[in-house]
Amino acid sequence: MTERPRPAPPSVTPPEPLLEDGAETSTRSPWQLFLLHFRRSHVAVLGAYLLAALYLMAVFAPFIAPYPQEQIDRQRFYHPPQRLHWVDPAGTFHPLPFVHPTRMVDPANFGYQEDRTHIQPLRWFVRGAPYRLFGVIPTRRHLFGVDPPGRVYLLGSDPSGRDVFSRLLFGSQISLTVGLVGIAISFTIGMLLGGIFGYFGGWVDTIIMGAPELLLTIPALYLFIALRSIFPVSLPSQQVYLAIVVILAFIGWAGLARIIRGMVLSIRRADYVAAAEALGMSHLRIIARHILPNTLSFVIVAVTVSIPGYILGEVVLSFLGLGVQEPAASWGNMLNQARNLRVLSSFPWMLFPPGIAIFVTVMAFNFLGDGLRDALDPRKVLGGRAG
Amino acid sequence: MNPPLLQIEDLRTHFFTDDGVVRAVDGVSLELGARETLAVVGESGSGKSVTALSMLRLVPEPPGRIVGGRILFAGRDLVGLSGDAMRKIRGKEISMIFQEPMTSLNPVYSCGEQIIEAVVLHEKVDRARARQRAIEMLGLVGIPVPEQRVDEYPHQMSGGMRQRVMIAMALACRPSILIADEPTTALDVTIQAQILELLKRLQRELGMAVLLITHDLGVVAETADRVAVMYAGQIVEYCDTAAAFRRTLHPYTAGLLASLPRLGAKREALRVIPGNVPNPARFPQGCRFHPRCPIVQDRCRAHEPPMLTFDGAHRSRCWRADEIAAGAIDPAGPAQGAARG
Repeated sequence: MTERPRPAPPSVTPPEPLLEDGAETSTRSPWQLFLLHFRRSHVAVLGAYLLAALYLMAVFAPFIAPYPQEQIDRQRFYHPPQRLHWVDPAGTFHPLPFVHPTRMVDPANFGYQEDRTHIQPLRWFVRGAPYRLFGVIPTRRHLFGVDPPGRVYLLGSDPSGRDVFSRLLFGSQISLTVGLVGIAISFTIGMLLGGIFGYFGGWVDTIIMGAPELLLTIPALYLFIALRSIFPVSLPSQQVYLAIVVILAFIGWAGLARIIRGMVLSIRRADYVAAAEALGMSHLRIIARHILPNTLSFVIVAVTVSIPGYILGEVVLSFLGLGVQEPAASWGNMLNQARNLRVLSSFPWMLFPPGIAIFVTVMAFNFLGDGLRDALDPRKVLGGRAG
Repeated sequence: MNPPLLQIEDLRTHFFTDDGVVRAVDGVSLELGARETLAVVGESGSGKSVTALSMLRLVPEPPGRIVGGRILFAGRDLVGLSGDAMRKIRGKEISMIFQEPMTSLNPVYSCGEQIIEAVVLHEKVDRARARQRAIEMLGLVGIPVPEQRVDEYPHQMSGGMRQRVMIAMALACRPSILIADEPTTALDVTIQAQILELLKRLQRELGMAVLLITHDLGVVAETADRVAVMYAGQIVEYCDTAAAFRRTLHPYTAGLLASLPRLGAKREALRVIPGNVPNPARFPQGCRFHPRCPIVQDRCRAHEPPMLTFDGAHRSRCWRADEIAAGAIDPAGPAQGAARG
């Protein structure tokens, strides 16, 4: 014990070890090392939090959204986003914001005016349209809303009088998951083919890995349309979703497989693979346990930065009207409504909510990917030993 | 000599490349007795590593292939064995450790995990017991506090430590033969001595045979019972270690010995064997060593010498071995012999 002027209370838990401390004696798992490096990149952490928030909103979409995505309001087409007020015309402050009801003043140009004589307070946990939370729990509660027959349009309404805010949330369920499901398929195929052909090589490898390159010489847009034409024109929305995922995965697996194959080719010659062979391990076991795990750090990064491609792919397909069909919402078919100049200039809330949502999501994935790349850099992990 | 545990007869491993057939191993015969250490010595490219890899059937195929010969182990010819049967031998009956401890451990698993994997692969034991064995093995190879270091990752260990872990992995299933392919080349001199000492001790304690591949004659002198000197895919001399150092019967071995720097000797240029190892795709006609041989004769250039046996156990592939044995000529060559005095 060190002598101090004032004896410190005996502490059971040692102080949190610094990076320099105990590198030789304490065991730091790769996971801990990874977290240590990842936290240093503020942008990456921001990306991670943004994505967490986005996906939480997608999961809770029917609860957060005040209205169902297909609910039509025949009185309010192209309704602009409503302002939230805290102070009423009389000067009284309201702790909860309220909106003024609106009425149409210019039917030709969809002009609306607030009726400042009435206020509609926002209420928490209001009863509204029935839905099933997580697809199972039946409930009528929504996070917020106004008393019926009033309406609240935080982000305005679309040409059919549907709430853009609600549609944005429901749309995220499709747009955000297409990337995950698509990459999951691509990842599986890529790992399998890249792992096996990278390891065994031979002429099959040349063909399997050459075919995608041929495929990629076709412009992506044509490929999208051509592949979509394989499926029937009108499909139930779930099947359209599947079709989109399959199309995206079909185009996307090749890049991943090629990355993995390249890495497997080099790792196959690693000394620890020779050692594993000399211990009597089978080829498949060596691929699965000793080679593929060593590609993971790169694959995780590759996966993260390629998810935006899938999200954008869905947007393109839906924008072209080949993807998710109305009335189901996706960010792509929401953008589709903002494709003429008049809408763009007069009703910018058709463009900005889905546009900004896509932008933020893609940026967040790229931030995260950059941070992962730095944190998973093997040289850096070794440097973390600081010894 | 103990009855042979493993016997290689006329092994030929060739590589079929674009530049022609590379006869990396071309008619190698040797025996390895139980509890014996046999050193295989030679320059880079002499075929010593390919011989070892052939024993485990780990020669990359294609381009390599065992085109002839037999490898007899426990009553079976390993050359004809199926992949599955061979995998049951690797790591269980015959293990191998490699030159590069820094890269021979998988960086994503802890050291213990890799030993456990080796144990579970060959024996019907549960993980808890396999872990116990891993800790035991780490202790056996001289790693301090093994119950703590078993969970450490390769990057937390030094080169010498990692080579110890490699040895623990290779010996976890108590094989009867350990092939050590230049196990100390990549290590510091002091660590080299420790690892060699460790191998010697483990060989005594576990009673296994060791096939030591090296180009370091010092290592041979310290550890091997017998030595096989390889040159250009063939064994050129095969004898007791003491005999090789005392009275070699082959000019190549003599050249190797003469090229060793001597402590306390007058400072002079290091002796070398003139020339280079021949291109294995185009060996010279006659004796493969003849272009570099100091005592070359006409018949050496025309005909390949057979393996000749002297004193029952000392084999040499040299036309003039009988003259050397009789003391008529110095295998290191007249000029060098005079200089050595």
